[in-house]
Amino acid sequence: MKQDRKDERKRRFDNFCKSVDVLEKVYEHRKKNPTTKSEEAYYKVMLDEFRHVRDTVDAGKPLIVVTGEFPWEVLNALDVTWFGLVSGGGAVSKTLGLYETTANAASEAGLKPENCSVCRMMAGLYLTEYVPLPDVLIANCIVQCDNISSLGPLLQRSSQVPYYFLDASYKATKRGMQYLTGQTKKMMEFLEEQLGLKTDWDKYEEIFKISAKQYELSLRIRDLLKERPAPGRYRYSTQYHWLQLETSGKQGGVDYMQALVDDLEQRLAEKRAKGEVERFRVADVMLFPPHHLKLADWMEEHWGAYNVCGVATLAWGKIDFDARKPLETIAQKFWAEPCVRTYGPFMGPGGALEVIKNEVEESQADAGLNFYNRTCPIQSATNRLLSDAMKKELDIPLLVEGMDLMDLRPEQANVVKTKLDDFFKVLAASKK
Amino acid sequence: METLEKFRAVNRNFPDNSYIKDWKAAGKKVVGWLCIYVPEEVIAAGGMLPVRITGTDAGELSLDKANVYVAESTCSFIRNCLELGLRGQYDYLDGLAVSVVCQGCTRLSEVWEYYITNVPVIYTLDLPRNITQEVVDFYRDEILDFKGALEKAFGVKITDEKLLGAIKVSNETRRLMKGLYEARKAVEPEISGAEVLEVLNASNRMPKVEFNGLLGKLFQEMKGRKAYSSGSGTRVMLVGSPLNSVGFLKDLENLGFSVVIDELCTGGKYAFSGLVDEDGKDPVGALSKHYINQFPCPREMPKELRFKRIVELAKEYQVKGAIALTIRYCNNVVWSQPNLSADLEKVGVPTFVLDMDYGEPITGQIRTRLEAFLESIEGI
Repeated sequence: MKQDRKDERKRRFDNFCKSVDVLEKVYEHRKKNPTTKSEEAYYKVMLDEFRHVRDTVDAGKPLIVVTGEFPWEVLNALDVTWFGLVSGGGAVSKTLGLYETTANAASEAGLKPENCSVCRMMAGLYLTEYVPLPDVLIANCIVQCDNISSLGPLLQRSSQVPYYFLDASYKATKRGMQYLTGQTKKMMEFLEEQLGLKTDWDKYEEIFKISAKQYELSLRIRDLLKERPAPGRYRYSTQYHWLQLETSGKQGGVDYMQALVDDLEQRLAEKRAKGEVERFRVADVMLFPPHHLKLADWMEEHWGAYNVCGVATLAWGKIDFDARKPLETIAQKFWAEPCVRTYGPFMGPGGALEVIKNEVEESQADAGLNFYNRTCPIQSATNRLLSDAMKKELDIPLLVEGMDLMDLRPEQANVVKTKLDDFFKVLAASKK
Repeated sequence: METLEKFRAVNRNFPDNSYIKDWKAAGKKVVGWLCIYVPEEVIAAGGMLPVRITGTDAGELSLDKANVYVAESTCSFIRNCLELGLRGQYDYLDGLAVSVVCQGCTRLSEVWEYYITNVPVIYTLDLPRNITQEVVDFYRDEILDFKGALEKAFGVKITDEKLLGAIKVSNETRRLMKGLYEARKAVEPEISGAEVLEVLNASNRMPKVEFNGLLGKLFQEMKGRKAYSSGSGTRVMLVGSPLNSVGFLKDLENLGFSVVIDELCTGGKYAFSGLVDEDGKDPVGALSKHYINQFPCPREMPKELRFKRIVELAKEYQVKGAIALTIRYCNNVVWSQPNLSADLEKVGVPTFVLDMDYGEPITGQIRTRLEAFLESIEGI
């Protein structure tokens, strides 16, 4: 290995370890100041994932960095460690307060403020070497997202590492499933060749047992959120979402989800015993700003507004786990993933509009919140349509609020808080 | 040039023109398409007039209606298309066919379906990003489904024979277009970049047979002509986002640039994508093979294929610089530009990246920056 590359590897490793150190402290703090089982499990599992990446790199074992969401069980079957830039990268950015650093790096690389801020964060993080140097970089194109699809080639050229683009269609048709299955198989073959590894096909039995358990727990969480009185909190579905992405087919994910189910059941029992009734049942139709969960706490405490469904986080489609057809199952799981369902085709049977309407209707929500990333063309193009459809077909008001989901600064949260306050005032008035 | 005036008449009031009016008056169908991966030959073979959905050529349009329905983070090209749809200027459409080349296109068809409810058929052709045989096979089936949808909706039978006929007509357009671009290789070109854009715009707004006839005449009229009074300006190429504004190119050329080549989807891509196989054995397969392997859109993978072809064109047309039109929120273009600029730089072609909105004129700051770029590449 050339000296330059060795130096880069070390710099990246040292930078990444800084975020692991912060997560260690956060976890220690959480243990000393216990809140809920799931909250503690969340930080433990996240920390374990980060430790695993750190130890892998430290031991000189191969690491794969992936740009987007995908059921990464396929990598578990190769017994190779992977790091997700969306979820893991977001945690690095948050723990080390790198919002401005990554935004500046992306800008220097030629990206514009109007490009998706989440993808710019990932690019900036990679370019400023806060992500370990991968042995293979895998990029993909969730629901044909132009931003995330374009991220891979930019990163690949900057670091000159082996690279695979996992292609997919836009629609979850039979043709699309077959294509994705073929692409996943090619990716496995590429990884086997690059890393000198061999897929353990028998391992899928065990991996899918874990994935199926996660799926079962996910459906239970979704159902519990819809209960009366509402036991859910916004931070639950948000944390669930980010951790779920990191733990496909891993026991840590099961541990966390089980803790969350336990917490929800306990809260439901306690609320029922006390005869508590929430003031507002609120549906989260997209993603709550992950760095501003205190806003959610305020909504609950100040307005009695509780989350009764998270469409983009918990509205799973149907999955039949079949270890005899692992790649087909993985393709099916990809299209069943809530985020993929809500960011994908909007109209028609099985489209995002239908998924959102069903979830909102089933949860008997009084209102909906649609936080969208201002720089996301997928979300922003359908905001008006979604509001009109919710009003017309379900008679439910929807607050549409554009934010930069990566912006950690409190000023942004304060602006949103004012709008939320006004929204709940109007809701309260209409309830009288 | 008399024929150029005829093309101008086609474009002047677009989305309206006499060809579309006459077509509809004859009781025939019009199907709008967006963008270059939609095989217009299938539409034509069904006896319908394919019309490309764009904004107007006149320049910047007020987007009052479109901005109500989609946010600014949908690019201004798409919002221009939607604006015209919402104003009722595309009300003549009997169908709309969209390929999922970018989120803007995809979402446009969905918003159109919800709010502009008078289009009987809206069809989305799915399209992965790789340029491979698997995708050719995938897209062949997509085209077959699209053909079936048109047949069902309009009660027509699109036979292989009809498809082959439409392919031959479009191939003739491709040959003629290539000739138009070849003419721009000359040290003193016979036709300017702005004039070529007028021709290109018209090509997607009238029946191809008539278009081919007119373009043939234009070649005769061009002979021995000098497009630029000064002989030639500084030779540049355009890359990036869609462009229909003739005024923009006129202003650019008035500044002292000669736009001799472009790779825009509203421009040279048609000329530089080769021809569809005419052997007639499998016309749908031939269309799929052609469209997947055409001059790549910035969305396509691997992106280096597009970069390589752009660099080849830059050398072939001996340009001194490149101007990258990056419409804000045209994400595929913007993300690709840093690597493309680097590749052009390697062969001595500096790139000027121009952030703009679709239809935006060259004024104020943009003019000053372009003048500075011109001076820098001329070494003034």
